Formats: sequence, C-alpha cells, structure tokens
Amino acid sequence: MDDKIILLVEDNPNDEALTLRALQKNNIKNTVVVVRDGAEALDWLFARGAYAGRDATVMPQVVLLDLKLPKLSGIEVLSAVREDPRTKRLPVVLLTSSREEQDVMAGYDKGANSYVRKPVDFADFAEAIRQLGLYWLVLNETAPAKRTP
Amino acid sequence: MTRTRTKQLELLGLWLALLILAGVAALAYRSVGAAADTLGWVEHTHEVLHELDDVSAAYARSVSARRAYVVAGDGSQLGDAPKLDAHMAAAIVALRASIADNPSQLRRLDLLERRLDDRIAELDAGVERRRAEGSAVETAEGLALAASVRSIREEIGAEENRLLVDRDARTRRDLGSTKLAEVVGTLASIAILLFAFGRLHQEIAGRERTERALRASEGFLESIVENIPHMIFVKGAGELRFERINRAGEQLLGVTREELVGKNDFDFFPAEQAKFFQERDRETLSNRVVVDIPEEPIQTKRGKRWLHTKKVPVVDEQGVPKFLLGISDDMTEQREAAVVLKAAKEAAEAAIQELEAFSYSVAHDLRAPLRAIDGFSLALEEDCGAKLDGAGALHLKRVRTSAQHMARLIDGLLGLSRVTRGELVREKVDLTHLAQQAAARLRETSPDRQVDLVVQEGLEVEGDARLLTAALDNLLGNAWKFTGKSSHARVEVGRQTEESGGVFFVRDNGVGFEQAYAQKLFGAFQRLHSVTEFEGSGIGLATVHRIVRRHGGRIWAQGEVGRGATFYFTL
Repeated sequence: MDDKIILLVEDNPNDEALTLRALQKNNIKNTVVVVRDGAEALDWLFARGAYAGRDATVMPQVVLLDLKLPKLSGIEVLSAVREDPRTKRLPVVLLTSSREEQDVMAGYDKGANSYVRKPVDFADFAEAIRQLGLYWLVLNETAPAKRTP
Repeated sequence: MTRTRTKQLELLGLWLALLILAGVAALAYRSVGAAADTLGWVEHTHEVLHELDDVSAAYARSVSARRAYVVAGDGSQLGDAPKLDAHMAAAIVALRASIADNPSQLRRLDLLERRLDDRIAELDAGVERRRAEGSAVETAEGLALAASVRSIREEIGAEENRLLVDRDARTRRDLGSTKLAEVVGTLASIAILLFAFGRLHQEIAGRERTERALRASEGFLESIVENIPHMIFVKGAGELRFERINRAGEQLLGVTREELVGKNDFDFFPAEQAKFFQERDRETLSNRVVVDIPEEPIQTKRGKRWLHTKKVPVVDEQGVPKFLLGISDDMTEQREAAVVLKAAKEAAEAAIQELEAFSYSVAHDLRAPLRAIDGFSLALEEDCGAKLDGAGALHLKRVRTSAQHMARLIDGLLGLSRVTRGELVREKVDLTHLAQQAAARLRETSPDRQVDLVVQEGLEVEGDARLLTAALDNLLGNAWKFTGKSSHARVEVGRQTEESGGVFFVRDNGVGFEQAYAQKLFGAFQRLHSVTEFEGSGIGLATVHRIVRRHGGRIWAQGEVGRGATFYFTL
C-alpha cells in the first residue's frame, strides 16, 4: 500500500484536519501527503526543491487540490500538471467552496478532473470523499498505462 | 406665364404698334392726295365756268356787233365780226378741251355750238336783209335761237356748278378724312406711347422690386450664416483659398475675415494640420461627397481645439466643383467632458469591480470558518457525544443549524451578485421547459411531496437563459415551499396576454401573504414568515426582482393569507 498515495493540497489546517478525518472515518488507509501551497505541490510532484530527493517515479493515486492556495493557485497548479507529460493523466479532484467556483472551473476542465464542493455539512463531504474513494482508491485502480502486472 | 412667352407678346405688340402707325400714315397720305385731287377738279370746274363765260362774252360781242346793224343800222362794228367770231371759236375750242372728260357736257357744247352757228347765221341773214332792203328786224326764229343758246349755256353752267358743289363736298369730305386720319393717327401714337411708357414703367418697377427682394433675401441669408453658432467657411475649389467665413469662425480661429480671405491653411496652421485639412478638401472635391471628420485637432490663436467638421463640395450646373463648404462644431468642451466622464466611469467600474471582488472574497472566506464550526461540531458530536448530556447535545445542534443557515445566506448573496454581474445575453428561451426542469429538480430534493404542477405550453420569450433559469428556480421553489402545508398543493405557470410580450405568472395555493406587505417581498433579507415556520434566506425574490429588472420588465405579487399567492412578471 506504500505506493497508493493521496496528495492533499490544502492550506487551511481546519479543512486539512476535516478531510483527513473524513478519509479515516471511511477506512481509507492510504498514505496522505499534505502540502500547503501550489508551489510546494509542484515541487513534490516533480521531485524538486525541498523534495529533490524523492523518488520521482512514485506518483499519487489522486490529487485533492484546493483552489485557493498561497503562491500558485489551484488553477495554475492544474495547468502545470496538465502540461507536463509525467503528470498529464494524473487524476485530480478539485475542492471547490461554491457553485460559482465550480462554474469557473468548468472552463478549465481538461482530462480526468472531478469536483468536490467543500460542504459545511460534514456528512455530505464525507460521502463525496467516500464515493471518490470507491472509484480511485478502494478499487485500487489508476490510469491503465500505469497498471502493474 | 413664362419669360419667353412674355417676350414674344412684347415683340408682337411692337409690330402691331408699328403697323398701326404705318396704316395711319398711309391713310393720311391717301386722303391728302385725294383732297389735292378733288381740289384740282374744283379749280378745273372754275376754269370751265370761266371759259364758258369767255364763250358767252365772245358770243355776246359777235351778236351785238351784228345786231347793232340789223336793229339800229349801226354798221360800225360789222368789220370786227370775223375777228370776234374767231375769238368765239377759239373760246369754244378751249372750252371743249377743258370738258373733254365729260361726254354729256361735250354733247351740250356741240349743241350750243350748232345753235351759236345758227344764231350767227340768222343774224348774218338779217344783215343781208338790211343791206338789201334798208331795214330789218329781229326774226322770231332769231329770238328763239337766242333763247335756246341762253338755255344751253345755262345748262352747261348749271352742270358745272353742280359738279363744283359735288367736288367741293368731296374735297371737304377728303379733307375731313385726312383730319380724321390725322386725329386717329395722333391718338394711336399717343396711345401706343402711353402703353409703351406704362409697360416700361412697370418693367422698371418690377426690376426694382426684384432687386429689392434679392437684396433682402441676400441680407436674410447673410444674417443667418453670420448668426449660426458653428464655424462656416468657404474655400475656392482651385487653390483652396478662403473666400468667406462667418462670425463663429472668426471667433473660433481668432482671426478676422479680412486677415483670412484670400489665404490658405498653410498661412494659419502648422504645416502638418494644413496638409491634413487640404487632403480632406481634395478628397471632398474630387469624390464629390460630404466628408465627415468627427475629431479634428486644430491649432488656433486661442490654443488647441477639437472640431467636428463636415466638408461639402459645391458644384456648378455641369457638376464641376467650384467651392468647398465647411461646417465645424467646436467639440473641445464635449471632448474634455467625455474624457472626464470616461475616467469617472472607469473609476466607478473599478470601484464596483473591487467591491464585487471584495464581497465575493468575503463571502468565500466566511465559508472556511463556517466549515470548521460545522465540521468540528459534528466531530464533537460523533467522537464525544456520549459525554454530553441532553442540554449539551441541544447546544451543539443549535451551533450546527446556525452554521448551516449562515451558509445558505452566503449562497444567496453570491447568487444575487451573480445575477448583477455578467452580460445579459438575449436569446430565444422556452419558459415552459425551464419551469418543468425547475419542478423536476424540486421533486428530486423532496420526493415525498405531492404537488400538482400545471405549466402552459409554448411560453417562449427573448431573454437570458441562465438568469431566467435562476428566476424560475426561485419562483417555483417559493411556490413549492409555501404549499408545504397544503393538503392539495397546486402550482400553475402560465401567461396572460395583457401587454405586448405578455404577462407571465406563477400561482400557488399555499399560505399566501398579506397584500399590504406585497412590496416588501422583493427586498433582500425581507421575510414575511418566521424561520421556524418556513426556512429561507430572504434573498430569492430579491434575486428574481433583479433578473426581471435587468430584462427591462416588471414584477408584482398578489396574495391573500391562506389562499395562495400569484407572482406576475413581464420581460
């Protein structure tokens, strides 16, 4: 299970705690790597800067990407991810905080993106993550090209 | 009457007058000639009478020479008899020549001559008798002959006298017609002169009137051009030199017309501007079109001004450009005002944008702590619920309910600001379809509700699909909510064709409202029901109101407590 990593890009410690709690509550045992801004997220993904020593071939199963981030915004991170061949097909779940944001993001919808609205109602949020867990984590499936025999 | 026609008539009148004068002259000439003629005849008659007297005298002398001897025996004159006879014969020849034109007189003269000869012969016979017998007397035959001679002579005389009277009368007549001709001719001449003079006077008066009118009209046009508060200038088509400029132009350019006329743009303006002006002038004249220059900078003596200029080609009858007419409006103040206005508008827009961004980010950022409050309340409930007593659990529940209500308020505010922002895109929108979709969403969220929905078919309008969807979501959502306590909930959507485009309505048989508060329904955060009665943010109808207003329409409501509500709107 070591290679089944979830990358959570979230600067708000409360949201981070609630997200981790939701994952835990739903018995998702994956390693969750938390980074706190857009630049750090890209450093981690491309194994550079503070993460230069990381094994660059290890990619997360899914990235949970908040939109409002310090340094680089979620949209900028997403663009960089989609432009690089190494991460082009990485599943990204966008954490939006309103329908407005979701509408805006529709314009950037390229590849395997999904949305989860960060609801105040924790149960709904947990359900959304659980459903995502069903598709991306519980089934232990990722893009077919990366499948190992 | 046309000008040529008048000219023709005048020519005709002139010829007629000449003809009348010539006629009168001919008439006078002829009657004078005739008078002279008859006068000649009168004299001729007098001559004839005179010659007749000569004949009579010669006859008397011939007769008395013989009779003196016959009657009284005095033969002293007998010797003269042949000479006297010759006189008489000569007088007769002269008379005959004079009356050769008059056959009846000639006949009388022949008869007279014969009688004279007879009388002379009878007297000669008397002379022979006295010589033979020593005495003689006048015979009866002789006396009769003498009487006959007298009578014939008187006849001839009477005839001539008659002719004289005749000819006299004719002369008088002829002289009369000559006078008449003279009078008529003179009168005709006077009349023609008067007429001609009258015409001339009329003509002169007419011309003076026309000239006065022309001068007046020129003065009128002149004063109009002078008083028009836009610069008006005229340049010659050839060298583009100024021909005229009005007062507004003088004031605008800061030069007098005396300084300007005869000069061109290069004498007054910077070379670059003068070149621009003349290029536009040439364009106007060669294309023969009006050229409009909305913003034209010009360096005047009063500083830089901005003009809105129209250049017009003025062509002659053959279409050859003669002048360039220019009309300029000083736009400097408007332009400055527009610049200020634009800056103000941009500042206002920037402020609005900033405010929107601010409220958006406030609304957005408020969610994060709210999420934490709700999320950790739930966590507390789940993880430590067992340690809380009844009151503690209730407090925790209130914390969560409040957080969730605040979340809805924030959603409503964001929705309201979404309605205000963005461009209104008008297209064909099927309200019937939108209403059915909205109802379908409502049924999904509350599957246990039984609501009779009636939507009229074919509700097509021109409007913004996104905004109208939001409006119907809100209106139907309201109807759904306020019929929540009705046993047979019924919601109706339709159109009343009262106005052009129609009045649409959404009607329900829910709890209704007091008509007195109808206007309050559309204000933000205005509620007519308590939260415990009906859940809500008080923003939905304010949003609908804004959407309708953005479409240029109207919205109003009718209701009665316990008998439902109807919302009417136009687009």
